[in-house]
Amino acid sequence: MIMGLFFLIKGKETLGTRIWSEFVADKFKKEAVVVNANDTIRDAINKMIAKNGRGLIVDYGTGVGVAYRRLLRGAVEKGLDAPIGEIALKTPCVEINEPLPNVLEVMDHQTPGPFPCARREGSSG
Amino acid sequence: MFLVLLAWIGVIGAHGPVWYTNQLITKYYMQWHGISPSVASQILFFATLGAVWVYVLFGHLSDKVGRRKILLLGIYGNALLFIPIFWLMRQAALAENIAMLCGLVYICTFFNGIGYSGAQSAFLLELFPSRIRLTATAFTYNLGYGITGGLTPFMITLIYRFVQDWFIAVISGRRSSR
Repeated sequence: MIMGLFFLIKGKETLGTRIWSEFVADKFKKEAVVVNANDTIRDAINKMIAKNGRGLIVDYGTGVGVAYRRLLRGAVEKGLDAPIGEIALKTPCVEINEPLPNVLEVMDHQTPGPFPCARREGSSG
Repeated sequence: MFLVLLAWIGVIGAHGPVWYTNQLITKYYMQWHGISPSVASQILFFATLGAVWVYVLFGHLSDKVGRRKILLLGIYGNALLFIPIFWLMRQAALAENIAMLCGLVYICTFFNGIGYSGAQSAFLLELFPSRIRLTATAFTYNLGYGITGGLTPFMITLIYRFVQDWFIAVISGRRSSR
């Protein structure tokens, strides 16, 4: 009973604590190549290969999208000179300090859900 | 450090003796009062089995009303309960009233499930930051149940050496180790 008093007096309620909230998007993001939506698919692929990237972030100016390898492979038939913005998937964008549960929520709603990307004065990963 | 002490002393350490008393001492307590070891084991076994749902229920309730309330009920509810329960258990054991013993032990295992429910696990996980969560949870849990709770049988036996009464030994032994 005496030991329990410590908890009675000093113990706090923990219900509602989001146990993974200290993890933020920045910890999990992978560096990605950012291209402009007006860039051609050829240029975008070249940039991606040069940096050994797995995908691209496409900057539309007012939003962002992603283009990953499988998507690019299927889009080649449009012609390598088509703008990358035409084939990229528009996605929501989360801030780099966004808690992991919020990132997971975004991923959950993002179907077919490649990934949301983190942003620091522009897209970063 | 404060969080570790809070979890170790305030929660796990406080509940450790409750667990040992409910799940271990009850069996020996019946034996000390003339019930055969096999019957005492069977009573405790079926009472524990029958109280499995309590762990889940109070874990779920802690999601609604909070961890703290459930844990305090588990600690102090048991503290108040043990006095009449162990007094009645002695009467039932001496009268060889097995049905009554079953009921009393079931109450013990029921109340054990309140503090030992999912509320405790959830509390520990939510208490510590993720950087130290696994280490701190394991450390406080094992310190609480291993050392603080583990001293319960020793304390009860020690006190019995002086008072020569198992009822007083169980009640005061549990309290002193807390």
